[in-house]
Amino acid sequence: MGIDRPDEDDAPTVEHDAPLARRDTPDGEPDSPAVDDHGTSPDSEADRVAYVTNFRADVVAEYAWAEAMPEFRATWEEHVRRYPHPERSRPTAHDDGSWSADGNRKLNPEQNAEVDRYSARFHEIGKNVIVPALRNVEAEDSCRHLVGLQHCFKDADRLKEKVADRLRAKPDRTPGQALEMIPDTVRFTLQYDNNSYTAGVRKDIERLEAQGFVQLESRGTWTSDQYKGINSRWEEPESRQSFEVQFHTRISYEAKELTHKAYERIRSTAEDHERTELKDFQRKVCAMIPVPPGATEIEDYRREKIDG
Amino acid sequence: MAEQISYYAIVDDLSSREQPAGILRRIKHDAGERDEAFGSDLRWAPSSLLYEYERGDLENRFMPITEEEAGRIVERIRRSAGGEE
Repeated sequence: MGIDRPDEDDAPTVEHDAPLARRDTPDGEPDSPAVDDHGTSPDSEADRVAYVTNFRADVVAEYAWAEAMPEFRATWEEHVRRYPHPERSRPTAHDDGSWSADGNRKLNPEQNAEVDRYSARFHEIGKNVIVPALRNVEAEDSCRHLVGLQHCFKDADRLKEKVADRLRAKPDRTPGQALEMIPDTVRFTLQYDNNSYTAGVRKDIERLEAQGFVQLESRGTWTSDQYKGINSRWEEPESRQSFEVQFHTRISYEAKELTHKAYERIRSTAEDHERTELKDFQRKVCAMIPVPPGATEIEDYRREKIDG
Repeated sequence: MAEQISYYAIVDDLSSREQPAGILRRIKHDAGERDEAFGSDLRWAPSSLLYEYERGDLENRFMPITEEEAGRIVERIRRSAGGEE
């Protein structure tokens, strides 16, 4: 049987804030239905009714989520007890410059050096260009914020695992091509309230473009039973460095963190029979995530190749 | 359940359905499921790529293909590894 290893760069960081800190009771009314979270006023009776309806549904969903969390955590603890995975061995850098890790993953000295050079590059561009720009975008609206910023750079060993996996599964790729196509070496998450999600995502896509970034792709998974949210891929045009922006609600982000270790096992170490249970766990967690109004109407995007 | 195998062409920014970057199969059976890719080492081995896609990863797309199409991709990889392409 395989083994589990917390992935430091992707390690769960659920913030256990009070789920209803800014809410009333499930039967309550919003404090001011005249102005929503984005400062826009419902301008008709129909809008006001829709606003109140969405607000109530949001509060009910938050209560349900808060009530379900202890059960999910207990389910996961029971799963770990039934499927104990021994610790994975740490990835190893060898004296000849090569690198190896569990799963028969290997990089020769040249490949390993190329990943190290790329890591240094994306850290520099990320730190000096991309992170400040994302901070600027965040500052434009106090109704949502960046979460998990401390994990915005992918861990070097996890990146090497990904490169090794791709060089094997896509035999024609060079290490450089494999690196450039990994979308989340630099990644960010914007987190919204449920009811301001759709308008907020649309506006933030405009804001990212206004910062000069080029959107390459986005894909919504709000109808998926395994993972809910929107992931998008961007490029900083001068350096051509790509990065990822995920758009989540508080609950979809917490669900992602809650299921992180299950996902780690699914993709790396689980045996076939355990994998089925892990996917069932993810399915049950995802079923509790309320889909923000209008979220499924945000169209997927893929930029046409214009420069080969 | 008898064993069910679904094949997928792996398509990324530098490839197409007609010339995919690789080949993956998902095997479902009574006891569970697993994914395997046919790799540069000319064997089927566990792969996480489709699970990453299901988790929102944007690098690859997975096009369902027939067993016959899968066989052609496997042969192409074999020939390429043997220096025939």
